[in-house]
Parts: sequence; C-alpha cells; structure tokens
Amino acid sequence: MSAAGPVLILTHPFDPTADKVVDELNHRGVPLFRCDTAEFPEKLSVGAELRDGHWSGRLQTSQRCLELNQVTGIYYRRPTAFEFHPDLSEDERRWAAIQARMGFGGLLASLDQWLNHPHHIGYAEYKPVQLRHAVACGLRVPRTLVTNDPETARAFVTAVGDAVCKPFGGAGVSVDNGFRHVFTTKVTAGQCADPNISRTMHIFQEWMPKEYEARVTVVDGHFFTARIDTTSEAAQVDWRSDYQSILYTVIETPNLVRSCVRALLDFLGLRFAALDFIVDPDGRWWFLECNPNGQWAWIEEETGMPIASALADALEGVHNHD
Amino acid sequence: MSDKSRSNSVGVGIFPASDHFPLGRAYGCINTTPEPASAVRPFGLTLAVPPSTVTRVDSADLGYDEDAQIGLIRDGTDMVPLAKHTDGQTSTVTQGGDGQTTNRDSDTDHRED
Repeated sequence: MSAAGPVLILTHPFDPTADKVVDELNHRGVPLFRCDTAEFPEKLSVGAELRDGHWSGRLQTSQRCLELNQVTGIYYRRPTAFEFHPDLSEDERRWAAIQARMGFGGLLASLDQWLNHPHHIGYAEYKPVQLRHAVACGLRVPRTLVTNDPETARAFVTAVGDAVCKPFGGAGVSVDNGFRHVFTTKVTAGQCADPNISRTMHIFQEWMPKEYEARVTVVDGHFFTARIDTTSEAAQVDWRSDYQSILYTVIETPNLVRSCVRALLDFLGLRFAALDFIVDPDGRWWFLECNPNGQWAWIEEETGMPIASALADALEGVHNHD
Repeated sequence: MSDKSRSNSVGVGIFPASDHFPLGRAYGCINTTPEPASAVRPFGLTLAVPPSTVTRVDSADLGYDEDAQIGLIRDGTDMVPLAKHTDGQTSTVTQGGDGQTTNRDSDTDHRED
C-alpha cells in the first residue's frame, strides 16, 4: 500500500479515460475515492466543519469513506448533475440544486490539490479567453473572428481568403437517422450571406496550410506530444472527423513552444491540458485551442506515451518536471 | 446509472450548461428526439455531418466494479474492464420504454473534446 494519501476522482461511472488513471493508482496501491456528483445527495453523504481555517470532514458512500483533509489529489473528469429524490417537485428540485451547487460544490471548490480546478476549467474552456492569452504568452494564433453578424463574417472571410468555421463547443444535433456532429469546416464568403449566422455566436478563423498537426498533452509540466498526419480529405480539415485516417508519431515540442505553453497554463491555472497546434510548411507552430479537460487516453493508446502514469504522479503529489 | 436515475436529474443536461457544478461543463443526457431543422437553424449547426465510426454502447451492457472502482462492459458472457475494451470513442445510448433509442450522452466520448 502506498504512503500517498487518498485521491478523489470526480466522474461518472462509465468513463474509460478515468479508468486508466484508476488502474494506475490501484496498481500503485494508492487509496482512491471515485464518485459522481450525481450520487449527491441520495447516495453520497457529506459532512464538514470549519476548523482552523480548513474544512475538515468526509464524503461517504455505502462502499467507502474519504477524509477530506487527507486528500493528495482531486481529478475532475466528467461528473454529472446532482440527482435528487424523485418525489421533489420541480421548484423544490431547483432550490435543492442551488443549495447543492453552492454548498457541496462550494465545499469541493474550497479544497486544494485540484487537477484541474473546475473553475479554472470553466474559464479556460472559453475559446476567446484562451486565444487572447495564447497570444499574450507568445504563441502564434491564426486570424480569428467571433461574431453573429453575417456581414462581418463575410468581410472577414473575404479578407483572409481561405477560412474555416468551427464550434465553440458542444456536439451536434440529432436527426432521423442518427446524430450529426459539428467539426471545423471550410467556408466561403458566399456562405456567410446566410442570415442564420445571426442566430448565435460563430467563430471563423483563417485556414492555415498544414505540414502536420500536433496534439500536446501537458501534465504538471511534463509534455507528451504526438504528431498527427492525416490521409483523408475530411481529416485534413478536422482530424476529429476521421480518426481512422490518422497516423501518430511521438515528437519533441520546440523549446519556445514549451515555454509559451507553460506560461499559458500557469496563467490559466491549469495543471493539465490538451492543446492543438498546426505546424505549417515552414515549421512554425500555430496555436488552435487548449482543452483544459480534454481527452488523452486514445493518444496514449496510439503512441504508448505514459500519460496515465503522469496523471497518477500528479494526483499522488509526485513532482518531476521536464 | 440506470435510466430511472437519469430521469430524476435536474432537467436534461443541455451542453455546455455550467450550472450543475461550479463551472466546468455539465455532462449528462441530452434529448435526442430528432426534430426537423427549423428555418432559422444557426449557420454553424447546418455544417454538422455524421461522425466517424462511433461504437454504440448499450447501457444495459455496462457494469461497475465497486472494489476496483472502474467501469465494466459485457463481452460475450463476461464483464471486462471498459477501458481495455473501448477504442475510446463511444456513444452511450439507453433504450426508452417504447423501444426508441433515447438519452444520448451530451459528451459522446469522442477521443477529443
């Protein structure tokens, strides 16, 4: 049994990505407490008292108990919404939800050792935020417009020549024969005459010529970088649209990019992030986005890079920086 | 999580709502009842396309190892670790009472988000 304190993992039960970290921690004999916030309040009991400026107490399920003041790491993955007693009325449930968020959520938010703190995730997820600070930290960023005005969009796309439209977040939409996902898509100035650009916010970006792309996963200063080469037309625009066509190679991150990324993550308060870059034919790295709670398991599976081990180190409180 | 427990959650999680927990994206079920595209469908949404191969996982085939604290999935007659079975890109669907497929998770576990 490891001497490390318990690790708290907040995610839903069917999260294979989190399972990899759990597996690693189990292998090391590190005690851990995994729960979904959906278990609160009916299946998860919470009690904490403020003592000497710290919350001292426990989380408890029918299976196990966690002493909050012993926790060495908290992994925020994919926790789901609180689930209340089925007999609560809608109004009662709304009130209970606010108490749960502000009370239980507030208790957790007050703790240290987050990877990453959900407030930091929330802030960093905003693309306008990360793009602005990426520039401030010295990273190259393609010309970018956010707008709900078709004329502004048309003028921008005309000015940059080749452009893409990408989602700020979310998945897509259900249709009769399945589900449709929104990927980064090339657009023309003509398409920007669509008045339905005004229905919500859109993000347009200059299309950058690519030699290849890079997925940079960072855990407490450790860099795990995979070069992404694609073999399909769809993946050339957005590799997420065709995983079958991707070739992965482990590469080094240029020192300048490393230092800029470190600065960005320090500013955003992130210990973990999955960042996407385009590398142009001249070898210049262009920042596309930072995913503060991004997926990484498939990169480890494809390349063998020990990301789960790095996350376990981070959650145990083992500090070994590059 | 059973269908029953999902139906008791506060509303249907509509991404990227951030009210259920201190910021961070709420993860949960979305209403997947297909609806016809409106005349004012936002431009960005009109660019949606079918995703690349996604393994549909029936929630009835999922289990949980309380001791190891990991997910399990049915493989034939055996329950095996979910992490070793999936290629990382899954979409969990549950069957509605009328046999319709409902309740797709809001963050279909694409490899990337």
